[in-house]
Amino acid sequence: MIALLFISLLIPAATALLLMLFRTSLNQSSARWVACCGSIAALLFSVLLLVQYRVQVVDPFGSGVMPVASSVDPASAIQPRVEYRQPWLKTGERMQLEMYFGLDGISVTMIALTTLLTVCSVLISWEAIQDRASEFYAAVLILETGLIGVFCAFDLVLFYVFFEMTLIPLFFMIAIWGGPERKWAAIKFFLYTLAGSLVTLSGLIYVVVHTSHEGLTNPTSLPALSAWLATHPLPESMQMTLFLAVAAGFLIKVPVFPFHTWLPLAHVEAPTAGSVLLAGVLLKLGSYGFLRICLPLFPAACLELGLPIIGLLSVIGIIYGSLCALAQRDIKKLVAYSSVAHLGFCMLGLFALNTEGITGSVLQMINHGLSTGALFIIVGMIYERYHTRMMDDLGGLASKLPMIACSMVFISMSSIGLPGLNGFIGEFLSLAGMFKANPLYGVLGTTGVVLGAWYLLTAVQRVFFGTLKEPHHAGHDAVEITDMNPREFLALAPLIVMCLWIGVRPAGLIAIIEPDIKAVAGLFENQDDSPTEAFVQNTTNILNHNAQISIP
Amino acid sequence: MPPYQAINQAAGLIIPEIILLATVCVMFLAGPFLVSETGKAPAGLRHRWGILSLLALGAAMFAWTKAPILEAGAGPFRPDEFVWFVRGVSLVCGMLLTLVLWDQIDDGHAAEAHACLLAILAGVNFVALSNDLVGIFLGLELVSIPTYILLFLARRDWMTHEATIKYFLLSIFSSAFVLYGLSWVFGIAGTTNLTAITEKISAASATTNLGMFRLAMVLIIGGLSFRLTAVPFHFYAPDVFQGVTPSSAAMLSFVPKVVGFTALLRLLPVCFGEANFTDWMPVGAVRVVLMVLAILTMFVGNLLALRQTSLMRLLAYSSIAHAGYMLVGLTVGNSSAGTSGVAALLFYLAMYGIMTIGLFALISAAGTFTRPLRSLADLSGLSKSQPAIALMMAVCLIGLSGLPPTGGFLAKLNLFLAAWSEGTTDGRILAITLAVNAVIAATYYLRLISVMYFEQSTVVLETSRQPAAWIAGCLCAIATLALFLMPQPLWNAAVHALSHS
Repeated sequence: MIALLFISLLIPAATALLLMLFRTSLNQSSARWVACCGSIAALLFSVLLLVQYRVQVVDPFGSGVMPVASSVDPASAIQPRVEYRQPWLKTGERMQLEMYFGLDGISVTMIALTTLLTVCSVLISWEAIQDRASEFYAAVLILETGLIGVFCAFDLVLFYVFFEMTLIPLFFMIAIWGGPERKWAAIKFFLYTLAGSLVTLSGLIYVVVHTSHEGLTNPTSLPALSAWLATHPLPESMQMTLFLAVAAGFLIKVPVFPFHTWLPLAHVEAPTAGSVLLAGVLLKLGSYGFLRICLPLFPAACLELGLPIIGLLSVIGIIYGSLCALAQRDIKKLVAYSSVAHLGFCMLGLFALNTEGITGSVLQMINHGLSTGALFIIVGMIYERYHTRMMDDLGGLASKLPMIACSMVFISMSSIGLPGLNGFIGEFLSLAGMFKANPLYGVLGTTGVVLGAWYLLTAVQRVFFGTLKEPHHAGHDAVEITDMNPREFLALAPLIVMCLWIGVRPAGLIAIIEPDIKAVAGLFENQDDSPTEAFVQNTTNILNHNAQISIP
Repeated sequence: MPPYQAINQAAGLIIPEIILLATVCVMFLAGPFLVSETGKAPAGLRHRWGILSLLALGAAMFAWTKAPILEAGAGPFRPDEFVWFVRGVSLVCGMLLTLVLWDQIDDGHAAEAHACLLAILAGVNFVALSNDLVGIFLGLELVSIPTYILLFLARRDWMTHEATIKYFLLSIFSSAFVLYGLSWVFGIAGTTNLTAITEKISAASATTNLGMFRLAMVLIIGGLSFRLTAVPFHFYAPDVFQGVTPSSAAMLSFVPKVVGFTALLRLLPVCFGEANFTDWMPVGAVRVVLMVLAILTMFVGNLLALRQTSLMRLLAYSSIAHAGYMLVGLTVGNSSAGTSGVAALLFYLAMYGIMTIGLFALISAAGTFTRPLRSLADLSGLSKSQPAIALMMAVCLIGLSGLPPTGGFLAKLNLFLAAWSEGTTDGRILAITLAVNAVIAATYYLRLISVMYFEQSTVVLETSRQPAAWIAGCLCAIATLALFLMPQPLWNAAVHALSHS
């Protein structure tokens, strides 16, 4: 299985290298074909990985969950099932960096999401990127490599390396192929996130140095560190300081209000592929970081600060993001602000610190990736046709572009959280977890669902329904405005299918991520608290049942 | 032991340097005969001198691998593990610098320029090798004097004149500082042999107040800070970098730093009565001085680099800032807890050499001999006109800014770990300053990259083929990436350098 992981990690890197080396001899059309093949190959291997993980780990011969990798301490809250370790740099007796790649349920699903969205990004850039195409696709694929790397890194420094590595290609994507304000957007994005992640690095290094002084032999290995801290917890005041330091980078990345200011700018200026990957996967690095690092390493601080600070900020983010989205005239900015709101749900679920909440949060990461990715793709399609994203200039497009309108309505429903589609499961579980932890935040968070329906449906109504209104210069360059073409259909269809599938049968997905979530949630809940387990089981059963009734 | 035997024995310890200096003599002697009286030289003569220079370096490298590693004794040289490391760094970087110099010198002066470069490298090794105050000072001068010639030879216009004169005067001034400091040491200890001085100090330190050593150490640190370009001894660097050719700037950005840190690592432990720096860490006033130097250097270098429009001035300030990072390692010293600061310093030094020489090599490859890249505007559109050079330059710049996936990231990480794991407030202040400065520095490195990639070119520059510099840049860019994946050998080498019993 680890071989499959390396193949999915190396294919994008190798394709990017190929594109850079033969940059001069590849024209736009051959470059995009190379990129397309590379990204599809990576997708296939990562799906194979997911399937194999499901078969071998979650359900080996129908007999329960496979034990964790041999070297992992059972006390650890992070339990890669498969791992590959290689010494990297040893700078002291107790300071050993490792090339530690591993897989657990959460990482394997996030990898699949990354590769799927990369294929969509490549397909959607097909015509949009005319200039320096091979460099563009190389940037996309390097970004993919970095993202896959983050999700399979189980060494703190390696995690940080991939975390930072994703900045560089996205910086180039925004700054070269972006909109009119691209330079400022790219630099703001880069410096803001870099500054945050250096604070994170300082916090991580403090933990590493501290535990290595205390006697841990490989303090950068996440499972070992987590196991160690489970038996030798840090003093609470230290945990709180470190939690805040480590959270700094992740809060900016997510982004949680009030650290979100870079996001709308970066989204509006980025090319469609950049937006898709930024919203779809890159933002998840923040919540993934919380899940992977903050929760297992600083459990006391999470209990102490998680709800009052992060929970509060998430609730503000949900309401503020939704209201901002409501006020936007630019559809892309609207979607960007909706990301702030949706990731608020994700964070709210995460800091409910119970199994339901965290499950909901992980599902929300995946769902948001699918539906917001699809929304950006649709916005990109409209922009490609009309060269505007202003809602005032558009109207009644459903009669002209029925397929696009249809998918927009579908994706909006998924994003709003209509039962039977994917958005519902994530938001429901997140909020259910939050109600259990703090009903007030739960109630406030729920208003976000209503607001979400308001702004998205308003946008859909204004752009796609009513009397037909097209911008003046639309027909000016004598290109006829046509509905979705097969390529665009191929870019969008998998996302729609996945939205529906997760909405109808979330149990399959939950089964993959559940053991790992329970391991984390076990730090906060009593282990033999069977009602919780029963609750998730019941919820998923009910969800499946309902969905199966309502959908056909 | 009869004198000739002692000389024979000592000569056996410095074979790599003998090879270099013999080549220098050959070049200086034969060079003038191949150039006509009017200064005209047959076209392509510089290639021959370049090849000879590379051959000499190759032979020196071979000798380096065979050179014995011995304990410090009463003799003039102490070829220990540290010398092994410094020799390796200077020879490898010497090869790269030779490649950079290759097309940055006209045929008529190639012999002298290459000879000067080899003499400088031999000087670097002598500073490390010497077991004697006088030997160290001679080594320092063997670096300085050929540097003046090298700066002046490459191009002769008024800017170079001014730069060379500035460098010359300030360098002499700093040498006087060092010499004065060394004479204090001699005055207190009564001998110039490092081993003997160490013994005297460690014997005396229990009873005697060695306050005078503080003055000596401050003078030595001040004088050597000039070579490190540590603030406030940095003022010459921007002017000189701007005036000289990229090849000379490459040399100036790296070799003086190697010399400076080598001399500091040799002299400071001795003043503390330690035979070597295995367990040495600066304490008391010296630590405060070093720490203030480190913090000032990082901040001043990075903040002043932010507003530069001249490429060479910007890189000069960046080189100042890097001296500050390395001073962090020196301040931390070899504390027993956690990562060794000196090893992190040596790792950083080698890594920095690769990245900075690579960058200057690519800058010289992107311009021509008569019209090198000067301002930031000259870089604009480079990604279109010379995509390969722009890409490799971006790799070096990302490395210098300390971002993954480059060896520069690991180098900064090691310094950070070393400072942090020391466990004192000073160490943490240094570590945090380092992190803050990494962000400030990222801004201007990013600006260079964005100029190359995002701006339309305004000036049409001629280009010339400079394969040697191109190869050097390419090797450096590859090494920057490769040392990210396989850093352990370099780290082991740095630790080995400290492993002296």
